Amino acid sequence: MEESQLRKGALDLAVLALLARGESYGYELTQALVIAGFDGLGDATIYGTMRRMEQHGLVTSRLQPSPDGPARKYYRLTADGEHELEQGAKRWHELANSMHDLLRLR
Amino acid sequence: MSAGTPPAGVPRYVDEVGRRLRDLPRDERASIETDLAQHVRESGCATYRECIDRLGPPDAYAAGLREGLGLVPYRRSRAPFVKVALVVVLSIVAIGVWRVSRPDPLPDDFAPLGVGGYAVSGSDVRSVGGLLIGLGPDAGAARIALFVVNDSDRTLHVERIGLPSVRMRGGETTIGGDPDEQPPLRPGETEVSTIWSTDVRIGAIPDVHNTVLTEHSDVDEPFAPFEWAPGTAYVISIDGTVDACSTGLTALDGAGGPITVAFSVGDHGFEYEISRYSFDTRAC
Repeated sequence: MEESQLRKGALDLAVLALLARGESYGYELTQALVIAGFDGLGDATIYGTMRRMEQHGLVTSRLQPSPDGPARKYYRLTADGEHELEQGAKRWHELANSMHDLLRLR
Repeated sequence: MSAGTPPAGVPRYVDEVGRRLRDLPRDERASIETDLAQHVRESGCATYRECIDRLGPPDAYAAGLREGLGLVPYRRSRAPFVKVALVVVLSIVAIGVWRVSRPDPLPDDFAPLGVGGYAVSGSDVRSVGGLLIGLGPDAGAARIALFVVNDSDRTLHVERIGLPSVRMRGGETTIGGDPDEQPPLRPGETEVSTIWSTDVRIGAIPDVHNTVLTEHSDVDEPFAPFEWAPGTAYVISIDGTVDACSTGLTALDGAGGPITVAFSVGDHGFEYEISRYSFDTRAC
């Protein structure tokens, strides 16, 4: 499977996991994702993902005025987002375990 | 508070990205563009060129944005000179006449469609006689009506619609396929050549958030989404210039008055009366 496909599938969960550490804004999240290994996905994809997750009620946002630049949009997890993270993490571990077994038997 | 007027490059970049969001409802698009402007400003670019250098070309940005939003890729219509309107035909009665075959397998998540048949009229109609309506090979302005049936067993939320390539010869209707590989016409056969080359895809969309039609000719006026019950048909009316066509349609009860089109889809027979259409059947 192409690596970018794997990363795209994991992106939602990665975003939820990062926001679980605390509120963050677009650029900061993008940088954190790059450090976590999600480079090559593009600002636009991440921004679209944030918006979609907000539409689905997993994250919420607020605008923080800034004295020397444009206002920043800060995202944080909602209760639904926290629940989704918990469930997603569980599914991820289960999948990782299954794949680990499968690959070992290859 | 915001720093005031954004640098000149920002609105232009936002506008260019926004073009590739034209299929979205206006409010949604406006909301995205507002957020997008803020995001572009965060990147610190001042001129349009700098925005491209930092964020990539607008079409690539729009593609990534659509991917993150879970939208299908933006596609401009392949036939910009053809206007498409949609009319609903609801009644179904049974007689089977034509068999429908599909040489191109559809992806698993797409619902099968039947093309029942179609009738044509226009200024280049070459001959009207008896039961046949024909178009010359270099047809100019014409109107074509196509019956497309939801041949699945579930209601489709139409997300996008294109136009199929259709070939009808003798008693068979074929969707797709290479028109250059069609066998020669045998005596007594009626052939309807490929008129459109756009792929038709109408998918069953479980997520009602993505039900805007995106594939059509007039990209500034998206169709309202609609539901398409099993076994019902839509008549797609196409006005304008078509590339090339030669057609023949066998009508069951004569040209000029109401035309009954009978066809079968799988094991099901259908019969439609085209009384809702008035066709100009003058000879050239």
